[in-house]
Amino acid sequence: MGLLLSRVLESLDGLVRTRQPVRILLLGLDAAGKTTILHRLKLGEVVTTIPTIGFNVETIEYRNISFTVWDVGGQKILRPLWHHYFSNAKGLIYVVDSLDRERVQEAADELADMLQHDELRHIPVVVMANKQDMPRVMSPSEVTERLGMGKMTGRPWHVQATSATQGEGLYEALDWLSREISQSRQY
Amino acid sequence: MSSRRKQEEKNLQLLREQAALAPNKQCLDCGQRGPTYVNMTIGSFVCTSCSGRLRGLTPPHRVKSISMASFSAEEIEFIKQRGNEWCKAVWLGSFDSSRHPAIDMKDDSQIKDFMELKYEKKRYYVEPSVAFKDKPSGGGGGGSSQPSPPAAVEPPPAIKPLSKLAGAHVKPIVLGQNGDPFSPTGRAAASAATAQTANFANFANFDALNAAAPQPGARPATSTAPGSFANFGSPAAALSAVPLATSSAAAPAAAPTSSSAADRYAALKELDEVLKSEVEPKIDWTAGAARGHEPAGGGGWAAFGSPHQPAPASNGASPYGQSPQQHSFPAGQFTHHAANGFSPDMGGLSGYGGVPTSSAGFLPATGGWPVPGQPASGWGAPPHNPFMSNGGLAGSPANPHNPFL
Repeated sequence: MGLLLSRVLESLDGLVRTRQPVRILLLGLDAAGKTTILHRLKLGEVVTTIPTIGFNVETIEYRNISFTVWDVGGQKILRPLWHHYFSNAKGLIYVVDSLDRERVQEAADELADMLQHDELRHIPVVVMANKQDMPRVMSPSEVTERLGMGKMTGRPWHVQATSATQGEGLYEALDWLSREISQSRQY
Repeated sequence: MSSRRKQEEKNLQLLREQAALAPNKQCLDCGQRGPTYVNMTIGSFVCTSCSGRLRGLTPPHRVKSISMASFSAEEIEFIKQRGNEWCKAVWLGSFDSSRHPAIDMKDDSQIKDFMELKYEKKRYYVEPSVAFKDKPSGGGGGGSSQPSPPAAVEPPPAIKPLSKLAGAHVKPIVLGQNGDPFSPTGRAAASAATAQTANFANFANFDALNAAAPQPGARPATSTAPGSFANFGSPAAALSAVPLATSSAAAPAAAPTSSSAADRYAALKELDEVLKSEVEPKIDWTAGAARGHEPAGGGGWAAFGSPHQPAPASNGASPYGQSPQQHSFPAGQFTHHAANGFSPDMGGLSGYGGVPTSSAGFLPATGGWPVPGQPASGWGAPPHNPFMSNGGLAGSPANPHNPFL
């Protein structure tokens, strides 16, 4: 009886905390702060990064979910390679430099293009309006508008104000993402 | 669409020309040779590490990779107006190195602190109007604050004849042995030999290799090398590697030190004339025609090189060869993967292999990748030229080394 109970508990536990890592994409234009976010989440500290050529990947444990976060270089020539990382992704973190008004349209276009892909069809998207610690940045609502998030259908999305260097908002974004992901898992 | 791409290619070529100018061959902020990024905020050429540091300034500077971004005509014009010489005169205008404790360019925090002084606090900033009030405008060619071997400055007219030739057939250049302006001295030979390791390290931007590379004797030759490598992005530009290659060998002999701007241009002019009169007429129009069409570089290369120097020749051919992925810098590639957490379960990786290579500045891949239509013809031409100059140089007994080997 005790054995049975423990078995049941175990399987319940297994349902709730699937230890299988969840693949998360961390994308955005170059110099948006992707690598800084990744290291901040992983190490809890701010590191000086160099422009990413290729990708960085870290496993981040949060809320009983093990995220495998893929941070792929965002320079123009690297962007066409993003789709190689799409398969089996369960969520997208899209980082936007809130200071960069000049390129926010470019960021919007890249996001829209990317979300056309079948492999990303229903995955939740959290936009990090990053660098909110800087003066005169675009507000999260402005970023939301400029990215055309209002027109986005067929997927859950969320815009989060963040500052990678201050560590603000990052876990809130992960919270939202983990909620969405665990919801979609309850099939 | 295709015209846009052409325009982008042209811009890239112009950018590489700028990057090949002597002051732009060193990172403005740390002095590392072979900058790979452009600081679009001020218009300077910087290395990868400094590009990272610049992104972290408040407000951040905008950096763009030379090989991984596209540049508009306006941006190119901006860079042309600026460049490292201009930026140095303005952003370090009042900087007196004799009164300032030397900065250890290997110490990250020192570089960063100095950057903050320079760009955030504008401690050494001098208004451009003041900085250039007694110098010709258009900074790029302005002051002579940066000590650099004048012969290393790329002489634009020297490129022209060769890139013109590239259009039709590729011919080897046979530099005359008598009165050859580039007939290498012992010193040139020595520096060319060191250049072998140095220039790889250089544009690969691998710190470890790089740290080992710099040797005063090798300076003129090596500092030229990254420029010529960088030019491989497009076939036409690649040809400019030839005059560069030869002039790099000649550099130490021609003019090892610079004194003033006037002298410098005099030397340039001389070199220019010499190149015009020597290089052009000495082209062997018969020998090269068949070779220009040889699809596979490897065989022809080794064969061509073997009379002089069998082993190094085939070695040296590989960076320019038809199949760069086979020979060129395997270590670099793997290091890169490792550093980025390469994991074998990554589906997209096979398609990805090329990226680190090119990004690190290995131009064979850069050339082949963004210009899908061109690899065969594009690469058919440039590989021969450096090699031909090897033929010419190797022919003279003083210098058995190709600076590109």
